[in-house]
Amino acid sequence: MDKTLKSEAHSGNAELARDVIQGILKAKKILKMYPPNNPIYIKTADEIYNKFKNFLELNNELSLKISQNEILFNDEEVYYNPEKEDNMALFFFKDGIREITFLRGFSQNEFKDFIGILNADFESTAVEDDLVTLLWERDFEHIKYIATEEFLSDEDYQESRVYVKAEDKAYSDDNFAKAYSDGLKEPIRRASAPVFLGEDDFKYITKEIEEKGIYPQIEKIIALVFELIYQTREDIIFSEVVGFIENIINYCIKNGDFQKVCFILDSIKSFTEDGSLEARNIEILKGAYNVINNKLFIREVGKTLESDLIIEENEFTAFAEHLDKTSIPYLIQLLGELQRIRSRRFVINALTVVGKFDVKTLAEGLHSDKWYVVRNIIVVLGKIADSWSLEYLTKTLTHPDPRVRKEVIKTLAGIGGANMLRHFKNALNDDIVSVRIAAAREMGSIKTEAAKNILLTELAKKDFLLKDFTEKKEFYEAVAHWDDQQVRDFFHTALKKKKFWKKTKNDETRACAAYALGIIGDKESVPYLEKAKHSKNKLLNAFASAALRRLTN
Amino acid sequence: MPLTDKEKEPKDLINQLSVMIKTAQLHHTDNIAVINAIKKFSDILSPIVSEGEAALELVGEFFHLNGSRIRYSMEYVFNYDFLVREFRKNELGSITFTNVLHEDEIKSLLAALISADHSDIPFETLQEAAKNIKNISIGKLRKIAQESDELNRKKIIKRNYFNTVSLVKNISNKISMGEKTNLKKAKRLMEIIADQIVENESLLISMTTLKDYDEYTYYHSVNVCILSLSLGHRLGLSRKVLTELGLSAVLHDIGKIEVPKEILNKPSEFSEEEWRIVRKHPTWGAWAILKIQGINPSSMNAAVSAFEHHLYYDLSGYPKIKGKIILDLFSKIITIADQYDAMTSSRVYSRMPQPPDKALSIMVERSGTQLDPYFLKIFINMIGVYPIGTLVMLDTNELGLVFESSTNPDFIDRPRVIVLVDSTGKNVKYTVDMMEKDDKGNFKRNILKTLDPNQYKINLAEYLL
Repeated sequence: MDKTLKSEAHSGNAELARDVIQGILKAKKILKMYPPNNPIYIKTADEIYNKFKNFLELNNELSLKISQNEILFNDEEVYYNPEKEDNMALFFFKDGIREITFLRGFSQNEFKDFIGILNADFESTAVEDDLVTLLWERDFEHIKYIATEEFLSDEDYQESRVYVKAEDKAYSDDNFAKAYSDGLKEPIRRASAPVFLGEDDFKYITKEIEEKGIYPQIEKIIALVFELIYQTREDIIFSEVVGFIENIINYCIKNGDFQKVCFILDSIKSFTEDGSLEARNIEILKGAYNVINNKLFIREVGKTLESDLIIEENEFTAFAEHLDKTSIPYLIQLLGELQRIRSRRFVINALTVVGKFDVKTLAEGLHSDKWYVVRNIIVVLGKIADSWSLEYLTKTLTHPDPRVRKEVIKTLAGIGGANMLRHFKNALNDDIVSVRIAAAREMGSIKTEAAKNILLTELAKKDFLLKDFTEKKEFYEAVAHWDDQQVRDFFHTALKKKKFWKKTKNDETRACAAYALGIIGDKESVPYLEKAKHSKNKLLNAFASAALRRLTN
Repeated sequence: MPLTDKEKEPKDLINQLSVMIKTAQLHHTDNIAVINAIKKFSDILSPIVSEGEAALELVGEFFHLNGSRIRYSMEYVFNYDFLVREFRKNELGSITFTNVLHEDEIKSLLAALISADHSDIPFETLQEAAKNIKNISIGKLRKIAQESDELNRKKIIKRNYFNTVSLVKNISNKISMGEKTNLKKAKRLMEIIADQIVENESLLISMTTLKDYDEYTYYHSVNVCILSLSLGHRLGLSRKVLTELGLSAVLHDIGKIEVPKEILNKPSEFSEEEWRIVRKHPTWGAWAILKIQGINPSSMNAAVSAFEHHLYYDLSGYPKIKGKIILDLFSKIITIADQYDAMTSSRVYSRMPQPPDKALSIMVERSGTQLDPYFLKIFINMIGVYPIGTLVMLDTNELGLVFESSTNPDFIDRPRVIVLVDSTGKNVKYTVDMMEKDDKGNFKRNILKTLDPNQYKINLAEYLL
């Protein structure tokens, strides 16, 4: 190749190398933002990988020399950044990498892993690996690097001292002479025979390695800490060792492993009861059990619930059974902070379990300034179904948020039943239709004469005619719970009623009556419905026909 | 992480090459068993050579394919070792396949390998027999390092050894002051040691003959780390697991910082009460690690090993445990390394160390009770029946020190020796390989007996490092 061609090829390669570095930069910025299955991630990753591929199709390797602020390819600067922020050269340089080489054959899988390493959260205290360690551990087939080991050297350490000290052994020719003479005289002493490994040896070893994995199973650590508690039972460090239990519980919570948390808590219980500890130490250990009720721990629980970890609902509920009433305020607070519906459902379950021990504290949650917290506490109180909670619940009937009022009506019906009638009656006049409907429904489910009369009175009111069709239908449906002559007569009258003025509204009401008669299912109503079926009003016609079908089938 | 198909190919290639040679040693190359083996080998090789040539090279104890080291796989260990032996026996360093192979070409290669088997000049015979095979070329086994490289390598290994001693000292100081240690530096040192084991295991193991009486615990921790990493490497542990193992080994005795110095440095036998305190160091070690480093995956590994390293295979030993424990893999490895280094070291309370070969025989007696018998077998093969530092009397009336274990798994009792006194009784210094044979094919030298170097105040470090 002549000089000009060589130089053109060189500058072309430098340009491609520049392109690859820009790709790495892009990968560091963009790919961090998306999960690997996201289409943007996939598209960007493919794009960047192709840059590598293009380069390595033309060259055997891409070797980059790294200094603090620049990256060189064939001694030509292909990247420069004097700033500390977002400095790709510095990123490699600070962990000791001085040269990195990508070899032909660099696969897409290797590329993905390489990007994963670049995007590791090195600032996090949890990551105790630097870039070199991660590259080393991954053992890339097609990435080589040179890392400086300067920072590993300890200049102060006296390497020679051990040799100096060894001189104490005062070498002299006499020593060898003595050894030699003994060697000639002493009886023959042979070393052990070589050992050979069989298939069974390898099977055992392979199994051991597979079972080990990289890190010990959490069960192992739990067992270790309980052993440490036992070993230090008469030691001054006992309290500190018990503190490890808290750390492990926290660790399990962070990993969403509530089953293990339960296991630890059950183990604490057994330990405090098996007679191996003195009373004073039992109290200390019980303290570790109670740590789950702390504000900080409950917060950790919240973080875990909001994460993408898979948490089994039954395991979480089992965990909640270990909580005591002191956790209630923190759980309520958490309820106000959680964003995910699933997370709130879990906390509601926990509050249902633990709230029954202190309804009063639980009811404090009804004062929350967040409407959904109030509604959730109402749900919890409803699940607990304690008559003591009625007093607190009725106070929320005037809550400014209709979603709360609606929820409390349902809950009151569940706990208080017929005794709550006056509250439902008041709610029938609520400004919000959904609340009125909820009240009507609950009255329908109570099925007392008093409830029926209140509803029939509502239906008979002049202005009821003007209400929205849905509301009217719900009210008629509620009354249909009473299958008695009074109700049937009322519906027959309503179905027959004709009006010259407000004819459409009246036909809506007639349709509701037809619907309700269909629900009751009394044959006596057939002639009334047959007549209504021939109405010119399509709505009435449809509802009457549907009711007839129901009756005849 | 499961290996991808691509990553599986090189080790499969080694395995099948081995199977093919073994089969050809038993049957004629036209036999159906050989032909089937050839077909399988060809199926594995073809996708590799279709992307370019496939150069299989033996470097030290490891095969490399096109410059990349092939991972040592427990699954194929027998065949891997067999192939290493075959290459060595024939002085074969590399086989390069330049294209997709025809069955006849592979048959010719097998025939060439078999013809070399019975030759006194195996590589030359092989070379002659294989010279006309299309698409296959062979290379002679290279000597791993020249003398200057060796000296340079020794220097680097020594530097890293002392850096690690210094690291252990710093970690111990920090932990005794209740300060958390960032383990990044420690992990980097573990990586370097693991790399050095791959490159020159013998030299690294010879470093463990360094013992320091005053700073016994620091040197001992580093020695246990090197021996554990070597054993872990032999077991085919992944790099990530090796780093964790190294860290756990380095920290295994950290609990001794809580044992009063007056006890640790007591020149006479410990009293019962003093033993009671010394026996607490595993508990104190686990406590110190978890207290200072917190609960994280690395600290959990280290704490488990610190607690279990005196708990024996049969769960005797100390501390006396309350519940049921299944000993961790790291603990089993570290216990073996710990016992070996402790027995071969001069300690305050046990001034006269055991000679290395004696230490190994004691450990063999403890197999299945104190020590895991399976891992111990691998350890013995690693250390050799005449470990580095063993003083040996040869049947030639030469006295010498073992300085490098045999790399041939069939002859682990034939190490390399520095002769210090020749057959006439004169002080000398030259090296011999116990594998060397005379014209009749007999070994030139045999080890007759072993002596205790400590009894004669022989400074091993002076000769081995």
